[in-house]
Amino acid sequence: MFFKLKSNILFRNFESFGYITDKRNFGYKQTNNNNNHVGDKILSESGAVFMSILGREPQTLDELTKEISTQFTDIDVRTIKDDATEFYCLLERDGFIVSGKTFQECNEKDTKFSYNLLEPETTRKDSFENITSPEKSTLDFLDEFFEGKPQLTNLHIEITSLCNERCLHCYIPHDYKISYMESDLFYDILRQCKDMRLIHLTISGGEPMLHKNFVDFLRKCNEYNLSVNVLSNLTLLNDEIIKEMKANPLLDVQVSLYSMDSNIHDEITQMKGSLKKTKNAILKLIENDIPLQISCPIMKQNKNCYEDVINWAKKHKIHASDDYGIIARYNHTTQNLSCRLSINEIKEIIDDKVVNDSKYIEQVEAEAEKKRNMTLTDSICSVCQSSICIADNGNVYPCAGWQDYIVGNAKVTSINDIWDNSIKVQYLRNLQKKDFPKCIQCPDKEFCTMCMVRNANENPQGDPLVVNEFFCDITRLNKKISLEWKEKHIGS
Amino acid sequence: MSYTKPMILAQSTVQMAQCRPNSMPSGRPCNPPAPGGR
Repeated sequence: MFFKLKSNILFRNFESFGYITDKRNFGYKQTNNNNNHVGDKILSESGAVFMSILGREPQTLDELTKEISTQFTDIDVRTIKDDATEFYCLLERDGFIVSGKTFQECNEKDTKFSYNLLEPETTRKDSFENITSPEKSTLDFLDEFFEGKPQLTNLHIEITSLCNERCLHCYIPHDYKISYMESDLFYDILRQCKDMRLIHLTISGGEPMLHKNFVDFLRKCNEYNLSVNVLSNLTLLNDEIIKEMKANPLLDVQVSLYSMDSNIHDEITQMKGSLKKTKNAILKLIENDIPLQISCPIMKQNKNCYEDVINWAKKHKIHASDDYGIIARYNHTTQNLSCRLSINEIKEIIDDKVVNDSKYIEQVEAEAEKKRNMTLTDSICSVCQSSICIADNGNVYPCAGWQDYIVGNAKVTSINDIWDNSIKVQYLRNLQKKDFPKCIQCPDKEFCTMCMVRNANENPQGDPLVVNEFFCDITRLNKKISLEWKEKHIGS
Repeated sequence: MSYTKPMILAQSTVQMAQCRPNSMPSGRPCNPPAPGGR
């Protein structure tokens, strides 16, 4: 029997325990895999040993047993082999590893992402029913183990602020798009990520493909077994980049596409010919089975044609996400908001969604339902709880789009040190819902996602606690539309 | 290390975080969830 780790699974060895997770917990949504996530698990110390020897290449049970037995001298090989069979089969049942009678069969069972194969996977449910599933959640285990100390799992790196487009709504002021991250700094950060057992890295810009070492950066991320999201306009995509992207089964791409009309898309990017390049690049990624998500911010320029993007994406089995919540630039200038929809225009968009998307209200309601359980001591979001960002100049900041809230610099201080000891990190980390008294008392709070960046960027003093009223208006609107829909359809 | 039978100590199904890459597309990549979907 052969066993291997599935290509979409990440493993981190903490020595006294192991952590396994599905990459899709960190990647972008795919068109039909919503029920397809296998979640995550904590393995015992010996379980971590059993898992640590599994690779992306199939190995025989005998090979695996031999390797495990070098680490345990107080047990016979037969027991190790029996336990390995049981343990690996349990993890196969739950979707983390695959087995096969032959090397080839094992590899073939590891179904990799493909646009031609967007079908829900099935995992076996018929074996090892006698093994009791632990009742403890991963989160509870980690909280107990680390005594509540937040662990950095997600890092966002802006490898260059340079961009070849000048998108009207961009949160980075165009004058600031001037520099690259030194390659040595990037490699040093990656080494630190490895030591910190980081799981997910977002490579962003500017336009990250403008960095001369972009391909090598991707290679290193693959070497370090990191889940990677690349945020790019894809206009500079070439065969070398595709080859490297394809080599990493843990890599996803996010690309912005504003309209299928080149006049409108190019008006937003302020780069003539950009739609043609981006669209062709998207098709290339599909051809190469590289998972991607389209983002389609809705603004004045594309409000009448953004749905063409959604429909085009659907035709190509790509998930497309739209949003009208444009945030101000991080230097608190707000000229980019001139393209933001007015509240009346947003109402028209939501009204259209309600009519055209039968699940829209259902999703709004489901989100609201989750927030009804919110408590005063909940943290605001993942900022400084599990994620942080680094700019091209080494500045560390809390969240994408919030570059002027500098909490440290990776050139002079280790990421670990900043994460543990920065006063600003600690301040943000300790903020709770109750620190936003107006929000806590708000009757519409279940329909709102609190966000400190959108507060800070639109506030002249950059204060994240000053609530951005524009988003309160959107929240009120969503609640009103949702209630009206329910009265009309459920009440009647 | 002395041997103990390998076990699963904890597990979670995925709970999408409020703020995910796919929920904030306004050119702003939002934060993926932490382990356990936090």
